[in-house]
Formats: sequence, structure tokens, C-alpha cells
Amino acid sequence: MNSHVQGKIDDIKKLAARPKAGHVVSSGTKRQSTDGLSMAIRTQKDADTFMTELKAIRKKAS
Amino acid sequence: MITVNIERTYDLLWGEISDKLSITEFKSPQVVGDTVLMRVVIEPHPDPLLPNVYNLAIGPPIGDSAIDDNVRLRHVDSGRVFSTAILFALTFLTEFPETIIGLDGTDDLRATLYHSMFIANRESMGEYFETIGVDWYVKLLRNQIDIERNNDGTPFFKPRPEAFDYSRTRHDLYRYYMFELKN
Repeated sequence: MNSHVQGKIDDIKKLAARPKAGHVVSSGTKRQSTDGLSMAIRTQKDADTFMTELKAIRKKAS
Repeated sequence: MITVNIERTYDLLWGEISDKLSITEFKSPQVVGDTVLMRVVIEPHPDPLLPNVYNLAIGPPIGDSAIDDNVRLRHVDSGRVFSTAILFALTFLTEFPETIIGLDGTDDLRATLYHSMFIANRESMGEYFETIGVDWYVKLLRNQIDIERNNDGTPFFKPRPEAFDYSRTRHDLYRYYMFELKN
């Protein structure tokens, strides 16, 4: 990763670590109950198969 | 065409990064002359069966952590808007490298946008991310006539992810788009 981009990432992490004045975020207030992917994943087995396939893609790419 | 260049982004006004909810905001100048506050949200995929998958959304803020993803905006520099979101996503992924970010392409308009963005920015995004496309498929039963179906008769779709195939044009869209940190 080039140093300029790494510097930008570091800056964002510093910004995120700063206390926020007047802005309180409650987590996950607008989570959708479903999306396209969750309609195709019905069971733990489906999810495990899907995640295994993703891992295989990552492994093949490395 | 949206050009992603994460070295050229808008300044973030504030931000939070966590595995529960990551959020930031920035101002985007509009063609009509004013500026619109934009929010980027990265949050866990709604399906609890996919704990390492996160969704990314971008749009004007609603309330303290939601966004309006239906409003039509005319940004002066859409590439810079998306670059800002992608840089924030990259920052998130460096903090949580085992996670993967998903973009729902159920809607054709959005799928076309994501597909075109991946293709147009293959080099710049490929420097940092592995990109993945997900198709749905249905199983042809052994009788060679029918397909696997749900109890209600609808086709039983299953997801099939693959490394994003850059030879696929925007006329051959995926149903879901994902990217993760490059190894």
C-alpha cells in the first residue's frame, strides 16, 4: 500500500478514535431484515457452504 | 463512468469504526450549487448466518445512523463521492481484515452501477481489494424437466460466488457484489 493511502487510512482511524461532540450513534437502527443474499441463504449449511466458497476464492487469488 | 481514486477523496467530518456499526459523513457539492451531507454506513449483514459479511450503504443521513438510499442526487464529482466511501471501506477492512463487504445488486440500477464501477476501476480497486460476484443458480432435478423448488413452488435459489469475471459486461450482471482486503 502506498504511503499516501496508508496516511489517509491512519488519519481516518485517528478521526474515528476522537470523542464525538454532540453526536451519539446507536448501533444498527436501520438494519434491513433481508436483502438479496439473505434470501438465498436459508440455513447454517447454506451459509457455511457460501463462506467456504468465498475462502476458496481468496485462497486461489493469493 | 465512475472513477475510483482513493487518493482523491472528500474530507471526512467525523467517523466511528467498530464491528457493530461504522459510520462517517462528508459534504458533496451538487451540480445545482449547494452541498449535500453524505453518510457512509458499514454494518453487519442482516442475516445472522453471515457474521463476517458487512453491507455498505451511502446516501444523505436520516436520524443518527440511517441513510436515504432512494434520493436522486447530482454530485459535481461522483467519482470522488464513491472514492470517499471506498477509502472508508478500505479503512474498515484494514481494521477487520477477516470481514468482507457486500453490495446488494437485486435492483438492476444498482447492480449496473456496481458492475460498471468494478470494471472501470479494475486496476485501482485491484490494488487493494479482491472483488467477487455472486450469481444465483437453481438445481435441475434428475428428471431433467423440473428444478428444485421451495414449498411454495418458487425456484430454490442458491448463491454461487466467483472471483469477479471482468469479461462479463453490464448486460450480464451478478446478483450480489462483494469486496475484501487483498491478501
